[in-house]
Amino acid sequence: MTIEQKDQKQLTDYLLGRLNEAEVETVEDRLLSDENYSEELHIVTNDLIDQYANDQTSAEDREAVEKFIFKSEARYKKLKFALALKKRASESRGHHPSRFLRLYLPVAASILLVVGLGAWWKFFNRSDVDRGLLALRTAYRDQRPVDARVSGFNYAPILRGEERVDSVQRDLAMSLLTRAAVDRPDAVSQRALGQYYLTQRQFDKAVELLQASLNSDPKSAKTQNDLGVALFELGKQAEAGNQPGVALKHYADSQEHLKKALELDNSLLEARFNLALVLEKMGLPDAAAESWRQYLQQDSTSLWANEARQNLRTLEEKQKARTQSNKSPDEDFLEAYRKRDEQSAWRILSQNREVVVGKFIPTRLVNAYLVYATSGRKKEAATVLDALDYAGELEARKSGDLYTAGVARFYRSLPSRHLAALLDAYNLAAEGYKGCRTSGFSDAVRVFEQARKIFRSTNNEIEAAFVGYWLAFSYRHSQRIDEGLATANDLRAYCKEKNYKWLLAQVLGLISNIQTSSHEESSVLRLDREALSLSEEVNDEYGTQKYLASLAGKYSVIYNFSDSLNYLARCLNQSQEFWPGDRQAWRNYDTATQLFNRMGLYTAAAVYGEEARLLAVNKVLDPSFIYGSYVHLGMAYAHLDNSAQGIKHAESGFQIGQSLPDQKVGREIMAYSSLQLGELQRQSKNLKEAVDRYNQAIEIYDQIGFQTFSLAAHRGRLLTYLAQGDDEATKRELQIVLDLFEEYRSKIKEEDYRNYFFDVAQEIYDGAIDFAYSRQANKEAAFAYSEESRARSLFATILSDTQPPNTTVPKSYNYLEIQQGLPEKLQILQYSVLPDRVLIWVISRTPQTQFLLTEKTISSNDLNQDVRAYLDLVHRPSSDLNELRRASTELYKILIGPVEKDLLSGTTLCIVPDKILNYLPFATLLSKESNRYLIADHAIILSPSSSVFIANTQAAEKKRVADGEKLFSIGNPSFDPSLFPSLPDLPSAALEARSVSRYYDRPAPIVLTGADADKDRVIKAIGDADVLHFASHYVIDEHSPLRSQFPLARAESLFASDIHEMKLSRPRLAILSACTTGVERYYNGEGMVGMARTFLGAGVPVVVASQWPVETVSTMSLMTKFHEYRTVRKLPTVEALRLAQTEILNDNSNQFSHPYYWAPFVTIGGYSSF
Amino acid sequence: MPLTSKKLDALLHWLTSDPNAAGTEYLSIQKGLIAMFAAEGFSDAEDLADETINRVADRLPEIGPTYDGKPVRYFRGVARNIIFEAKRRKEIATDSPPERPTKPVDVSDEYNCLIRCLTFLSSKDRDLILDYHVYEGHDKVLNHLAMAEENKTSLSNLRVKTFRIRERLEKCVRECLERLNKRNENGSKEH
Repeated sequence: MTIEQKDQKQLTDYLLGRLNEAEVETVEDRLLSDENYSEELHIVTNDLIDQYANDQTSAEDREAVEKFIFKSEARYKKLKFALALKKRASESRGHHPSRFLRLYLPVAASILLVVGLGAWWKFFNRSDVDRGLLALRTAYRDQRPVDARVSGFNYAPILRGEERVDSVQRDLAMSLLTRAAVDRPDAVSQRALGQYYLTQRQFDKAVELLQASLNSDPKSAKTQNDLGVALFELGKQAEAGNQPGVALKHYADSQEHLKKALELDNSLLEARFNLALVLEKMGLPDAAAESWRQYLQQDSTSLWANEARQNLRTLEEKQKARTQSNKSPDEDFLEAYRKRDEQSAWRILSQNREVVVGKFIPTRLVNAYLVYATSGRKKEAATVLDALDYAGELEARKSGDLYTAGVARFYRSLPSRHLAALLDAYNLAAEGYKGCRTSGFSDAVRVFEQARKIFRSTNNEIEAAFVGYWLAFSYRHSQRIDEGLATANDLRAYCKEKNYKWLLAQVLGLISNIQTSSHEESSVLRLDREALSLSEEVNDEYGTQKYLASLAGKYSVIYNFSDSLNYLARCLNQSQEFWPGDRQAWRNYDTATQLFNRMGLYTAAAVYGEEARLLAVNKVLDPSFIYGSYVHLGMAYAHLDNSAQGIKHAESGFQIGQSLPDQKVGREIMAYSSLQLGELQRQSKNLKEAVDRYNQAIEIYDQIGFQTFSLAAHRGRLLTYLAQGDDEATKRELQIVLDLFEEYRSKIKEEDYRNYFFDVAQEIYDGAIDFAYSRQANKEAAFAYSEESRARSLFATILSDTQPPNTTVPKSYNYLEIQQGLPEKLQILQYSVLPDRVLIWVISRTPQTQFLLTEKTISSNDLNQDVRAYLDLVHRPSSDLNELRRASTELYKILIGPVEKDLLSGTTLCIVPDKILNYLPFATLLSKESNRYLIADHAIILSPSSSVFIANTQAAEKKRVADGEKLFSIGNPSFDPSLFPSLPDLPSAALEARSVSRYYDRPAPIVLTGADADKDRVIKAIGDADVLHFASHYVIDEHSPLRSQFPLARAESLFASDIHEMKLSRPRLAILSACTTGVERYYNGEGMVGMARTFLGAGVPVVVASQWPVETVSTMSLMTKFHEYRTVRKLPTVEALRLAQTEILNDNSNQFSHPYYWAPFVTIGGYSSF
Repeated sequence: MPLTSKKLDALLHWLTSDPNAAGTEYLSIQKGLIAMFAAEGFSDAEDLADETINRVADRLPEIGPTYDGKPVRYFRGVARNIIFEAKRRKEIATDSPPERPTKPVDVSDEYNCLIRCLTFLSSKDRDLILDYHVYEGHDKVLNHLAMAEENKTSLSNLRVKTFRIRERLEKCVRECLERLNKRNENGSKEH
């Protein structure tokens, strides 16, 4: 029997005691019957000993090797032999050239003679890449590493069971490819190593390398394909980790690269194959099927083709099932009713809820009943009525919705004289639905009004409400917004009272849509979420998709792409399970088109847009849907270097609006199309045409009183005026846009959503700052724009106690108010990082530097690059100090140099950073002239805005205490290591907590360490102390800052959300002596959002927090000194920190002279005398 | 104690009725037993393997006629008992691993013996064994592949070949060390 890789692994496990009893028996039975195998055991033993002798044993294996291999004297003898052999072998290496050179030298020499040294290197290196790739492909010849096709890999099956990888070839590939990428990091070697990481399922690394390769060679179709594969696999991982939105984003990115690959090389089969796979994952079965067909045209014979054929077959079967299902749902329901097949009956009810296309079962049953009853077919009528009863009983029992039961009850007691009238009402309603399907909403209003009248006249309240919903819906689309809202609000109360859940969901969704016009964003989202929840509750599969798509669209409008993607992905996934009908499928795709357009992923937008267009023009045939498709698809095309086609599409949309018989509907379509045409013309630099289009859109929106998109139109017009250099128009438009922003600020109640919205809106504020500065030479206005754009949510929270309830978000302070609020000997340095310059304001109470503005010309890209490079040096204690100092002086020159002359000696600086500068430790900036760090001359406070600084300074002043401060100090809580396996125990943090408490003896401090530091005690202590000191781990949640936490004892945690909900009236200073407590997630506008900000928001005016992961010993030393200076020398917090930092920095031992040790902490918030 | 020819014959017959295959099976079992004991860290793996075979041969008259199963299973059971007994001799650490050496291990004796033993190898084998152990980590993989290519053989054959050379060399070094120790012991007595 031959020995395979798996045998070697099995024997290693046997030797290292990793097998269970049964496995040991299997191994030993084979040892006794297979000589090769028993010989291999000796070889594996030698290998393990050699690895140990060479110090190559992995940390994971070391313990087992020491326990199971070196358990006898005999093994030590073998180790000594191995060491001796190693020594002798190493010595022998000096006697002859390296084996690699021996192998390659003859070839290399001959090449050298012909083409010189450069080419020799290239050959040598290329040889490594080629050999490495060959080894990699050989390693995976029996098993495909990933489902998708990696460029150049032959067909291999997907195996789910035992691994069949040739590990020797794989390791060889790793060695060769790593060396090639290190020796010569070019596009070829990076792509090859990227492929290696792909096979190892280390997709992040693969993406990094493949992206680097593409940066050097963007025209490589194969690299584009491989990057597409890596992103596709990342998407699958995210999907498996229950992150559907993240997955969808990866799929969209993947699709973009695969399309690029095919644009570069249309015959690249790998990309064609993968594109079909990813389209399927994107919830686009028709596009995927088409892609498989295209693949099979190019390759119909290979083993890959068999797989393609199988995938196509599966998709076609699904398509077939989709078209065949539910052709006569009421008959299916009656059949289920006759058989009393409850499961089928409930499924049919749940899956047929789209009223407008006549698929709503209760309505169909009533209609049939009325037809039978009025034509004397009593028996059939009775059967249908019984079925309606059954449906009502089932619905009430399954979901608690009483609507259908109510309808059934009404018809049970209906006098026969009303039958004909009600049939008329039904016919009128059917006409109305047709109007809704064809954008004839004015006509729909008319017939729905008549129908409702009949329902009311026959005391059929319940169906009057039902048709009332459609009336409200039609009012809204005929721009009779107020009537629509009033009708819908009446229905909302009625449905709630009667417990008509499904109908209530429709009404809430409608109110949500109507409210988008008045920018009631928070309410809009809340209503849709409620509608979604009700739809899920009543098992309405169509409605569930409807509200998922609606939420995806509405979150994308406020630029909350993460939530938007999540809803959309859920929606698309559900549509794979249940086809919601052509109209809803169109909505799903159109929502995706709009979202990806907003995200700048135009290739994905185009593919969804095309699907939506096909549905609209071939199946749905509703003008509103057709125009929407054209306009949104046009946006995508325009960004994909096809602006002519984009504009043509958008113009088609406009023409549809113009030609609609229902003018009210047509005008809304024309307005929206004009808006999009404005965007396209602006993008194509046709500024005059753009302004005309925006004007047209704004005018129509004003006329019809529908303001959903007015901000977008004004924003576009503002950007066009700016580009035209029309100052007067810019000024006028700027005011309109900023007023609209303020309106949004007040109406988006949720802070998170507000942060997302203004993160994107910052572009406008930056434009305003630049305009005021460069075109109007108005430094006060520029400052006002800068201040208005910053940390407004935090400012509002800090001031919330002093504001009457329900007031709008307070305005920021103007520069005079800020100046007046400044303490003596304090200067503000406020930065605005604009695309091509940095503006720096200096504000102080000193007359000569009261309000100065200086400009430094530098592009934001260059600044970002410089700061990132510097941060990399600061964050690594091993970085070269000289290099760090050089980088630091450069940044000093850019950021402090221009205002150095305005900084008064000995002042404390409040720095208000912008964008990337939020991450910069200003204290470490070094003056070339004086060779002194900024901290040597100035104490430094960071604040997200000047207004927040003033507000916190005033809050701190109010928290001055006459007597001693009470300290609450927490150190090294006994967190559950199984919850945080990567976090080490921090005994020095417990020591730190105790050691700082020595400086606060009266009142007696509260010190909680180890198992005592549980959540109840910690929360109580936080409220009972003046000074809080946290010496512990801090775990950041990158997705949601409010889920970031301090792990505590008893497997509990103190979350940022816990602090967020507290009102900390007593604590006046919080020291967060843990890793990265000051910086987490940065939003344009709101600034840095992390634990430090959470404490500021909860009412603690001064926080000391860290800007990067801190080292424990230097931190303990720093913190002890800091508390000593605060309490013994009575220094203000910011000064005590400065002194502690400079002492550590200047310590003779130089142990902690690297900024990594002394500079991570900074004072954030306001100035305090304590 | 060596097996009597009568017991050996009975044992071989018990292993398989095919007289041509019995010898091979016997050797396989013997090698397997040595591997098992070596894996447990015993320096006298060969002796323990013999002891296992002897015990099985002794008990064969009792169990042979009724034993239902593969003979190797029985050998395995007996070998496990012997491992259990041998461990009581305290040669093998069963509790905690020996402490890691805190200073570099002195291998000068081993080295000197190795130099001497290498001279007993053919120059081809000598080059092969030294070349095989030159590199560490990834370069080792590369080197072995290049060697296999150079020797026109497969990696697995190369692996077995160098192992066999190494076994000879290690045995030679072991014997050399024993001689050296003996000399040292005699020398110390003289003092």
